[in-house]
Amino acid sequence: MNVEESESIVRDELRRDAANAPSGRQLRATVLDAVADVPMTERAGRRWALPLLVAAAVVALAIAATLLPRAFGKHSQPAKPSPAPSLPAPPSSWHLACAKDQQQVTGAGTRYSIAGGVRYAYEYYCAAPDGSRTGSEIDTFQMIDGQLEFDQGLLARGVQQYVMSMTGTDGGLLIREYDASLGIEGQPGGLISDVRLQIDAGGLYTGVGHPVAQPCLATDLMVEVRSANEPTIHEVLRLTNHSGKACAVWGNPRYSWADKAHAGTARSVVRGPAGGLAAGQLAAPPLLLQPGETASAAIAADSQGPADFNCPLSPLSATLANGVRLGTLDWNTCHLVSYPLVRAGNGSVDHPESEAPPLATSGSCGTATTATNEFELSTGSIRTLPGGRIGTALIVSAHGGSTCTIGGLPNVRALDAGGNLLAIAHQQPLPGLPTGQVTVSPGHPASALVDWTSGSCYPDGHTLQLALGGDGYGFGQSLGRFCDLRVHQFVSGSTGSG
Amino acid sequence: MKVVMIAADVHFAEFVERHTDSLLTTAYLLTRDRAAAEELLQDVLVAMYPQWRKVLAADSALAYVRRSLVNRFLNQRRRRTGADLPLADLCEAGGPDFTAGVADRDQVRRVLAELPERQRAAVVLRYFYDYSDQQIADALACRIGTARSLISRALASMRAPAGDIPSGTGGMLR
Repeated sequence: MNVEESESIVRDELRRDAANAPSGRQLRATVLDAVADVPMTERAGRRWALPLLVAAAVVALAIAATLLPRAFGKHSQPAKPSPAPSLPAPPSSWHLACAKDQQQVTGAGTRYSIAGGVRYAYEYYCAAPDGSRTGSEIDTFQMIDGQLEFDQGLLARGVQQYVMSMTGTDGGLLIREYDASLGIEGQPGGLISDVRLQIDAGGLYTGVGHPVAQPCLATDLMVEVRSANEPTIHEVLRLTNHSGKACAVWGNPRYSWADKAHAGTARSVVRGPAGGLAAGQLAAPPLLLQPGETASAAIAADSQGPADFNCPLSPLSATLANGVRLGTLDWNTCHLVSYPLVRAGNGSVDHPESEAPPLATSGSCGTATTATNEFELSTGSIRTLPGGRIGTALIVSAHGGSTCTIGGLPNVRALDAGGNLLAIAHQQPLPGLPTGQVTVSPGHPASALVDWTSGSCYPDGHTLQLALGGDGYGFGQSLGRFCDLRVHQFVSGSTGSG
Repeated sequence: MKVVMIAADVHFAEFVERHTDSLLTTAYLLTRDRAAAEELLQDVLVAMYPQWRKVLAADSALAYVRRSLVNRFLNQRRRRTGADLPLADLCEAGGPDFTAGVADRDQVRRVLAELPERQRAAVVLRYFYDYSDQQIADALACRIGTARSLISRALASMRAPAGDIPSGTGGMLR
């Protein structure tokens, strides 16, 4: 018996054991009784008094819906977001305690009315460059003297629910959410529900959830791997819902090698050359796949990994982020990058990768508070760098008497002759150089080094584009066919290397 | 740091309603005893209730509670054996390292039932919940290499010749 057979038997045995686990019906009541008189530390000093019975009823509805047979043939339409112009900008000083490698994201926003007046609800979450994220947090605010003041929280990040859309109603909110937490009895997470939240003037709320779609299982999906319709190194994992009902998928598929010699899991990232995600989205949205619809995820050789010389074919196990096993693929590389699932038909066939680079440039240069006509963006001369790399500097200079500050790792993209996105530069600090803010003033420019290698990873690059202050600034720059585009931090001077 | 403003008591009730069955399955897979599983989970949930806001601040409340469940299960074993072992030592505790042999399904079943607690916890997290090595290491509060080793030893012992199967449940300290 080999390792795989042992593992298979272990899984079977654990599933068999799990079937004998007791029901939690009695235990639920026992636990809730036991804590009824126990004080909770750091209890919020606000109006949190929703009766437990109401909460339990709401949850019971949700659980009952979860346990229903997987036969939700009809689906309500996705909630449409409120018109953006009527919504004030979310409070800029609202900070989550994101983990070190994560970045705060402001997601959906809407306004709703209750007896006490108009309220504004915003979704926040924390996302990491590998595509992982926290659950959504929904905080509500009211306008007082022209400022948004915190009113109450409606959803906490620890609940692992991702808001897909949020619409304000008269008396509350209509939220479409993806529940990433494990289902009952260890079933994969991924239930999509529409939740109608009724909120009264005192801030008490009740919610009723209606299931929209269950997570896609392997039996619901036709799995294919195809080459991308463009001359890149990417392959595309395509998942088509061939069942008769809608189902949900989300996130970066996981690829792992069963072969001991190549044991490990593919690196996952969200950033990628093109397609699928809107600029600024730091995490892939959950996808509701109607029957016949397809989701795609790019798979690429990892240009940052070791070379794959003599790397033998090795079965590659593909699994969705929620643990649903898709099967095995053959792939002759030892180092892969997994990109998230995005909706086909949104450019994902030609450009299957996601577009979600962190906009890490900071400072006042290029923002609305800066008089942009007093600053100039330019590129330095092309030069050869150590390691066979080719590079140029992106330079920010000042004219007149103005100054501005800039720092961090810029968001740089390579475009083809038609202005189509080819690649997003990997942001990599140069060791030994400062990483702080640089003040740009007349005679004192700031610059960031962009470098790449010659190769056939991408078609001819014609333009480098720098995103600054919400706008993209293009520089005519022939890259030829290239690989491994990188950008480094802004530093003083015009060479990008201090 | 912003305080998470959520009705923590309401969320606790929701959590208990929603996840008790799943967590009870975890507890049962660890203890292999229905009464012990119920007692273990009840102890964990009641103990966590006063600090539920801390749970809410975690990325995943379910993962946090499951990790606490595993820790309490392993700590119970520690108290039961009366050994005052530092956590790092507990991480290393495991059965003999067998590397070869021919076994059948019955043998796997039997060895699985008799695995040392720490190996069993690692096997449950890997093969029932598909945890990564890092997640298992986090849950067991040990190094990633140790997590791999626990699983590897468990699999090796299942594949060992019948006569060499470890019979104890306490494991061996290296």
